Amino acid sequence: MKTWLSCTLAAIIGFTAAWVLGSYAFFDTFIGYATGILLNIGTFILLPLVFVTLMAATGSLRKDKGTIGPVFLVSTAWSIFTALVLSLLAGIAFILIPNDFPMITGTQFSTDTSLASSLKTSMQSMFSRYNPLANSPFMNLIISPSWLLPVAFTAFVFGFAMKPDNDAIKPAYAVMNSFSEIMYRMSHFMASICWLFVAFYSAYWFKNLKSSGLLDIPNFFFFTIIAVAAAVCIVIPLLFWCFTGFKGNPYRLIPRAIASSMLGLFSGNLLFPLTGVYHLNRKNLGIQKRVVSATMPFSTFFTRGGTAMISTICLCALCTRANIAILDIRSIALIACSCTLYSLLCSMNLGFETIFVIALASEMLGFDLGGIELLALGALPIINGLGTFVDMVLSSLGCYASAKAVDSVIKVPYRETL
Amino acid sequence: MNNKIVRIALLCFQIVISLVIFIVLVIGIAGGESMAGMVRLSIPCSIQTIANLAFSIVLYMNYKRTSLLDIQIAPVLLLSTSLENVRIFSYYAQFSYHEPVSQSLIAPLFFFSLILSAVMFCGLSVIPQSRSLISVNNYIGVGVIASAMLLLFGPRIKDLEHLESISIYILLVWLLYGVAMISFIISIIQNPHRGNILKQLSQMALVAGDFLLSTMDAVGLIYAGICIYLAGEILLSVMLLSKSRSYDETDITEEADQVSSEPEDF
Repeated sequence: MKTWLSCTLAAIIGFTAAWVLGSYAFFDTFIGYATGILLNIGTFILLPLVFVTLMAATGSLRKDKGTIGPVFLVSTAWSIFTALVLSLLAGIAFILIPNDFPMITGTQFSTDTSLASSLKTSMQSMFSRYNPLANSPFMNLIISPSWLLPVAFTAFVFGFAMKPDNDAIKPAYAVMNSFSEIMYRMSHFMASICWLFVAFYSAYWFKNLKSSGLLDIPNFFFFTIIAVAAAVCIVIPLLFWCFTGFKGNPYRLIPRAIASSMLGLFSGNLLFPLTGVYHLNRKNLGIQKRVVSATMPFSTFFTRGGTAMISTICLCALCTRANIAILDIRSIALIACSCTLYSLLCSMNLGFETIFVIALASEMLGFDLGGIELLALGALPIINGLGTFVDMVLSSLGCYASAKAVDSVIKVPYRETL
Repeated sequence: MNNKIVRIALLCFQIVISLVIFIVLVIGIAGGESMAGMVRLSIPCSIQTIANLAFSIVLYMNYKRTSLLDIQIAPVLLLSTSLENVRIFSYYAQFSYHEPVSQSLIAPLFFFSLILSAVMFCGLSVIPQSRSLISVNNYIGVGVIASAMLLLFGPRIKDLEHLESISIYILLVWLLYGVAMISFIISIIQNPHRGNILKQLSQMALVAGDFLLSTMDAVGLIYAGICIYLAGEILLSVMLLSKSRSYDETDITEEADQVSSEPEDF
């Protein structure tokens, strides 16, 4: 069975389980244990996977003149451009159909807590602790499982020096390439059991959705869902065509990469689906291994168009609830730009990306939300998941665009896809 | 820069920068009389950004003669000169007493783009004259890394108002702009054909205009800078379009006659 179908069926099973068994206490306990264990299984090969594959990929890209620059340049441009466009469009849509942020059940308000300043402090301390230029990246390799910068930086530096232009270096390059294949084999395994993760995490997601109270006043939730659907089905394909000069069909690519996006949606964690994405992008989209390996770790930092878009919608809704007048192009543009800016830094707060962007963007713009930004915490699994879903779609298409820039794509017939 | 998707990527960066600067200008205009000073200072920045975007689109659509070194440098040069206009955030902060983006972020970004522009202008003037086989892509890469390293490891820039402690950067920028101007003049003396003189003069106008626009404080000089810059860019666009048209015609004739000849530089 193809991954898109198995994951869709798994999501339906998860939905049914959450609706039927969601009210029982044992379901909570079971799902809580299961998702914790699955998270560890899903990410246990992540660091070696990123380290080995990125090192081999950088060496391989260095081997062929004029490939390393275009790959990173196209990938970064795609990330920033899509983030800004999606946020702006989300803001404009909000002007047309304004919404309140719903009251989330069980959220504690605290007006004296400055969420933004505590997030800022934690970001600064994290950056000073894991800054690869200030501290040894090797020390950080084992203590930063939630942020890939140290491992990506170290792998990139080693890979840069591993250019196989010398007889003494060629064996090291071949060995690393071989290790890289091993990592892809493990990634293949993860992609094959992706449906299992989706089944459990979707049950958890739907249970959260049911209990959060988002559906009590459904306008905001449906607005967000329609925005995500419009982004994935209309805006992103159009941007992709503009970006690649009409090379490649996004409507063929998105379903082939949807399994990892669904896992991102239900887990709300961008690193969790990453292990399977490597193989899915290579096998289903036909992108060369070296381009996938080089772009995917960096996409976890920069390809945050979905998070920027969802944060823009949430911040607009929170401002409406706090009676801050924002329904004009000027304010919306400022909100979109600031959300885009902070979305580029949100990878430091894995799992809390949306709240991070909302809190810091509102502080930057001088909006006094009076503590109601904490409402977003209650809806975090849902809104963060939707943002991650769009992020994963953007990552896969960005990877494809980068591969197109260096002619590293082969056409894969549907029957050969995973 | 011969790759179409890479050129689209650079164009996207250009669009993002232009959009952000345009939005800040619109916000400034909506701010009323209290922001009039900011608007007066920001209009030349916005004009330069939009002119750069228009020129980038012209370049993108007429990018047939990729063997030319200056056309390879041009996208990065236009991008860096557009990025210089992030100082519009500093103007905004100055007049609204509110910092949408921290000055400690804007100031290094401004100086990075200023130094990079100066390095690219130098490359634009020196590389076509040098006889060594220097790779333009390597030059661009080294320029970007050197500019970033200089700011990372050099004296720290906190804002765009207290520049006494970082006079080394300003001196470097003046030096690079000076070298670029001298190289253009040497090129005119060495090759005094009409086409070359026009090309070098338009590039000199770009250098002089950008220099006045980015490093001067007086409003009159800034407006003079944007006029000179626009003149240079319009002249280059006209030359590029006319050469591109004549190149197309030459190409068709050549295909028919099976004769090859090198087109003239723009």
